[in-house]
Amino acid sequence: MRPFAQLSELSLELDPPETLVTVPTTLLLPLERRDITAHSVVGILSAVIFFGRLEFGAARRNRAASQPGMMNAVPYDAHVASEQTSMLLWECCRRDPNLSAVRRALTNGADTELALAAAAMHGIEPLLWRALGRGA
Amino acid sequence: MLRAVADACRMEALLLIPQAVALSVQPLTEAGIQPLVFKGPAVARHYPEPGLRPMGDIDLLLPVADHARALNVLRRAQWVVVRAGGAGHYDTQLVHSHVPSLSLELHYGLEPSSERVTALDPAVLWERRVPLDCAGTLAFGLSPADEVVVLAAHAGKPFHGFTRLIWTADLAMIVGDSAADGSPMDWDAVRAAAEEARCLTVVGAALELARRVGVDAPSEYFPLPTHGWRGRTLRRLLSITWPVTAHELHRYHLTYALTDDPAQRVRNLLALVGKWHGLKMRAQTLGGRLCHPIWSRPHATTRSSVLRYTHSKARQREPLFE
Repeated sequence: MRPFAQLSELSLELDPPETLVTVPTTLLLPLERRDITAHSVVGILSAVIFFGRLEFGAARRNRAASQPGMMNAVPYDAHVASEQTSMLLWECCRRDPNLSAVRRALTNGADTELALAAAAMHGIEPLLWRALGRGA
Repeated sequence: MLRAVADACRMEALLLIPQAVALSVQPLTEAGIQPLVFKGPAVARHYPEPGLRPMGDIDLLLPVADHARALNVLRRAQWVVVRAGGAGHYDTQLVHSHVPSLSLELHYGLEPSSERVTALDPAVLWERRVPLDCAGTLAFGLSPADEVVVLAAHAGKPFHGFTRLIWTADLAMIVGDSAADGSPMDWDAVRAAAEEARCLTVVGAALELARRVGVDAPSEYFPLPTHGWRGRTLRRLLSITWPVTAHELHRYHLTYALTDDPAQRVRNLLALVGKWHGLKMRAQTLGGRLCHPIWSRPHATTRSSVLRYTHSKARQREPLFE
């Protein structure tokens, strides 16, 4: 009699330090009861819960990103901010940046905190400083 | 903070970089070696003002046959080897006590063999070198067409994946500087060099990105894939929001899309499967840590992920500039 399978047999190790995927509910059933229907139902339910949580999590993150936060006085439109911030960064990289285009991006919702972080990531901080009129 | 960084870059460009170039190039030329300066200091001269192009090192290229002799000369000039060349590397890294913030990378290659996706030949590039005044020191550099191709291939190589806008800005400055000098970029020569190096796609992608910053390269010279997986990946690369979504595209997808040679694409795929990166990537995608190009998430996660990426970089104390 071997009531439960060993956990080590049931886990698929993808990347030891980061990811350990286990499927406990389906496979922890006694191995002798090879009731295919029961296994399938539990498996499907597990998958639905797993992917449902992923999707609900993504939806919640999206909703949270569009809400006013501690730093934002107005609702934060993530898509507009991404686009306008990107336009600001592109404009910086021109040989001769168009200052009115820079102002337009800032007026239309470019996220300055994101622009600063991205400029550091892209190595264009001096170009951003130049495009912003050197603080003028 | 922005002002402090800009001021520091300007001071470095005015004071340290000329000294570092002189300390590295002069001993070599006096010993009869002809180093080719590329990337950082060679590109910075195309910018309209000093200090706009940050850099953390000086890159010199020499034939493999000259490498050992050049190292001996540099050691005599008080450069200290901090990372030797050899397996897995394509250069030797040195530092000098007079310019501690800038390292010297003495190249005999352009990328490790495991990341080789183009046929760019460093020996051929060195053979085609042209005289150059680099930060006040006489040296050698690349011709404008070779410079565009090398910088595009460097920006799009698997380790980089066009993740920094500074490389796109470099192209804009080179092309703009050529036009300002009255000798517009010879796009036929660029295409010929890209074809020879089998990197037409990566050069085409770099020039399409550069179109957003004012470079008007003829698109018909550099056709890009528009269909299938490669087409989808390139559309993401060329989207307007690329500066804030660059890290969301898995580097492998981009490498696959940018590689011209089908056999090389298969080799990359096999290498990926061999390293189990495919499974890791899928696990990360399921966990919401990555955006699969086909299963694209909305832009709402972009802001936090850029900030998270920047903070993680700062934690790792990685140099922001190259």
